[in-house]
Amino acid sequence: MNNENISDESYDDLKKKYDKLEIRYRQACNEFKLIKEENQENIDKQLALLDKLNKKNEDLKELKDHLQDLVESKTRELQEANKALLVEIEERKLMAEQAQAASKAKSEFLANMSHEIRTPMNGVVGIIALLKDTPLNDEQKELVNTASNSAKALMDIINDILDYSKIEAGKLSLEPVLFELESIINEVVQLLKPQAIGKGVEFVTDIERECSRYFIGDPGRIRQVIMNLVGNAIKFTSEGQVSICVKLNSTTSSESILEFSVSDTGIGLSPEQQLKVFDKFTQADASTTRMFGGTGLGLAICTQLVELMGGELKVESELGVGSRFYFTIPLSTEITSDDFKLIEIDLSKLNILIINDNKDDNTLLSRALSSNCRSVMIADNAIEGLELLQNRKINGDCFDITFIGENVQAHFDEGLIQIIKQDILLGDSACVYITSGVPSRDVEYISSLGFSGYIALPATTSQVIDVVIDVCRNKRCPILDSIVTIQSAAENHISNELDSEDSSSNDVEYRVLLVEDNQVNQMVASKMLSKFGAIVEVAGNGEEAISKYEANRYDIIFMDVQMPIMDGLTATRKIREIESEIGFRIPIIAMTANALDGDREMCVDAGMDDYICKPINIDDISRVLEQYVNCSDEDDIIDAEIGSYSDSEILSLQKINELRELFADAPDYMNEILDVYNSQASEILSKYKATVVAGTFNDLKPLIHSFKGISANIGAEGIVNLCLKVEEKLLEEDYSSCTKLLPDLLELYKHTKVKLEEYLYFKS
Amino acid sequence: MISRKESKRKLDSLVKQAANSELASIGSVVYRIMEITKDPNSTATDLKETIEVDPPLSAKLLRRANSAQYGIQRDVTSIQEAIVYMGFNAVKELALNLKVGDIFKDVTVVNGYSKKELWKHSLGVAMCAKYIYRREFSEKGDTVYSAGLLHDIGIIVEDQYDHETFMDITSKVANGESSFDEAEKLVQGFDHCRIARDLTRQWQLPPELVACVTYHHQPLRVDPIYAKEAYTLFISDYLCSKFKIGYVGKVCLDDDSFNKCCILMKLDPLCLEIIAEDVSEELAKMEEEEL
Repeated sequence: MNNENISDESYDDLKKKYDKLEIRYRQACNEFKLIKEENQENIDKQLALLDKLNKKNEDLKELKDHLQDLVESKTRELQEANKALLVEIEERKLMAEQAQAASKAKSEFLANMSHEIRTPMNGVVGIIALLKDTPLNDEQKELVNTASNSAKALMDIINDILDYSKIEAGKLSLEPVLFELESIINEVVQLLKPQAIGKGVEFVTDIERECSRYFIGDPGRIRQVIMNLVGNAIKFTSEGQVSICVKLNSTTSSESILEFSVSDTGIGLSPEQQLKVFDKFTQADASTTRMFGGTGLGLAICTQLVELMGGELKVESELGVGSRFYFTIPLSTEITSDDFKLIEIDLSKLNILIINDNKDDNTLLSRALSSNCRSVMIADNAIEGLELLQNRKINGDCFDITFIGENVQAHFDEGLIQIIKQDILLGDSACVYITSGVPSRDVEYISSLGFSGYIALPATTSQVIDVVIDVCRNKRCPILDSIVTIQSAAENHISNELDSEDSSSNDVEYRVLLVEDNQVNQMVASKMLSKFGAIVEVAGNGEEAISKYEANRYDIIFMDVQMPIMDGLTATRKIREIESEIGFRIPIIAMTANALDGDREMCVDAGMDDYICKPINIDDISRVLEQYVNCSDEDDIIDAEIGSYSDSEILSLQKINELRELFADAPDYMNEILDVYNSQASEILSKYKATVVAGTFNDLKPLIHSFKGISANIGAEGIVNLCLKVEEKLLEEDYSSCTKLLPDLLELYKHTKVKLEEYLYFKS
Repeated sequence: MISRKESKRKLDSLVKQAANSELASIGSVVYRIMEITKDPNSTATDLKETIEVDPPLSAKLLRRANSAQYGIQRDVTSIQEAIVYMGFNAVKELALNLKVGDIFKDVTVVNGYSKKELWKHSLGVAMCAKYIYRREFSEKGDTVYSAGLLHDIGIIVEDQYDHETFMDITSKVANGESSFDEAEKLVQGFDHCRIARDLTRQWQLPPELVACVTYHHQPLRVDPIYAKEAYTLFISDYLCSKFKIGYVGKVCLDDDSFNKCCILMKLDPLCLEIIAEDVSEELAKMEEEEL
């Protein structure tokens, strides 16, 4: 029963559980059915998506294939193009090489040609020059002049061709230096004016005031262009005028842009001719060549030169009316203070006005200036001064410098200088402020008024002149930021004097070896060299030169480059080899007609020191001699010895002290004695020089004797000793040593003079 | 007892406020998801886009997708990936849960009521309804699921926008004075079913959903064409109340209607009981893993 109950209960439980399970099973079946459906749905969705994706994929594949085709075809095209390009590049390279080789060959040909032509021309020009110096009758003179002119004309043409080939080879470079524009133009005018006048053509120049100053540029090239343009203008003008005009177009702190123009009233150019006129070897009209002559290279060279200088040559013209050729180029105005010192002022052209009420000062100033300057005028008061200024201007002239005194400046409330500066009728004068005694105004104030210079009187003549020079320099080339004073001018001029002293001694004997195969050239060159006191020996080729070099001692060698048997470059190398053993280096100067820049490098590489162009001229020889012979190692050693002399070696201090005691009461007398000594010494030294140059060494003995005597009197012991040495050599008849001792003596005297002044000069 | 006119005004005011508030975004998300569900040609992309226009929802969904609950081995970094790894339906459901659940977050308990508990109830009803559909009818229960989540939205609106009145109601229910429906009617003249109706209509949710939420206390009055959904929702609500899933307040269980519905739907109460048990268990598990 119990069991039954239990089993009943458990049966119920089990039944319930079973039912639940059955329900769950049914429910699960239902859900499973749904899930199946859902899955199917999902699968359908996925399949649809897959379809879509497949389709897209196909599209993409198609696109990809298409793109691939496209890329392939493009790549192929590019490869082909590339190949073609490579081939073309190769071809072009080859062409460029050929062209370069051709151009080089042409340059070389031109250079060689010019050498071939210039060598005989060199002879012709040189011989004619020598011929001119011989006594000739009038007819012969005329013939020689004609020959000279023809030779020059031919040289001009050769130079034109050479210039053009240089420009074409890109080998022409500018050499910017400080120059005065006005003087360049004036040179052209002076050279060509006779031609113009000869044709009855008027010649006019118009240079803007701002342009008549100093610039940095290549004056040679500017002159060349203007010469050419003016030459053409004169050539093609039969009546009317030719004018040169220079204008300032614009200016910055460092450069000015100038416009140069050359106008004429000549035959003019048609528009078609204007297009062709700058072409090389072409003149406006082929017939003009026959009519007027010329190579037709001139304007082509000018065009290139102007381009090289940063401008462009242009033309305006009307047939039968005239032409105007013009160009603008920048010129640097960045002038250094060293350049400033080099500006030369011709005092004898200056007109001076002094407006001042102090008669003594006026006398002093006019005395200082009148001997050097063209004119000095004095006005006692401001009104008179203004009148003078105005009259001058009306007469088309102007005072270069106006001195204005302290009191007359204050005559007008606004100041005299303001009136002068504001009124162009009073001209363009630089004003210098003068005061007597202690200045009442400081320099800055005076500068701010517009004065260019300032002098506190009394001042010495040289001080006044120095100020005047610097004021003139600054007017032409304004670089000073303050006004010129006695102090500032003195600084500039001291260094100038030192500079000029350095390059003084000149007429000394040199032994020169001239190596040159051409006999005419040998003659010309040795004649020129002998003008500098050189003893010239000649060698006909490199081999001969070496044997002469080994046998004798020379101070310098001039060496032709192109010679038979052995050329100059090889000879130079051999000489340098020999030298490397003996440790001495002789200056070797190349003489070459191959005027291209590349030659210079070749010469330097071979061991040459410098080079001069054929046909050789006096200036080049002078420069080279000065540079190389005066600065040889030997001279340096002597300089060093003298430089190391102590006071006691130069002077006998005992003697000096005696003199000081003797003349303590009469200092002026001592000064006079010193002046006499100095003047006698310089006289003796210049005579010494003359005997060396003339080779009349017999005259030297009494000179040295008296120099020794006067030097001993004054305690110049160093000079006494050196004189003894010279006397010794004279006895031995060793004249070359006597020659070599001259510079020593000059140097020693220079030091002695300074020392004597230091010890003996009494300040009054 | 308040006047009919005032009651109507109050109702309109509540619905208007709800419609203009942050609740509105629930409407649009539910609407879009319902649309996707209905459209057989809808794709994962549609769902993805629906979720992604709501950045906070996207963020929450990703966080949930990466939680231990789903056990996905790798980082889920986009809705797209979530759909791939969790499945279309799971993401759809989770999105609904998160969006609707957002407004049920407050855990504060007043008069035995808290939004959190109400949410648990809503989720229970939704799951129950879904299981009935799936297990008994072998049909997807998307609409009833959504309806389940939203059926008590009216209570939230009352709580949110007329808190005083709502306090009145809940205290009456807590005191045992009356059932929730009775208290509502007494205090404001309408119940939360009415609010839900107006709101879901305003959101333009499908009519069957509107019908479900409107008649979830009086299933037999529903338009017969929506009977299946409405009865199912009622039965689910009844079961959750009976099994005390979430906040239920004091309800007098409408056994009569339940029995009638069961007969009409040919449902065995035992089967429903089993479903309710499962839901209860599942909810407990979810709660454990943080709801």
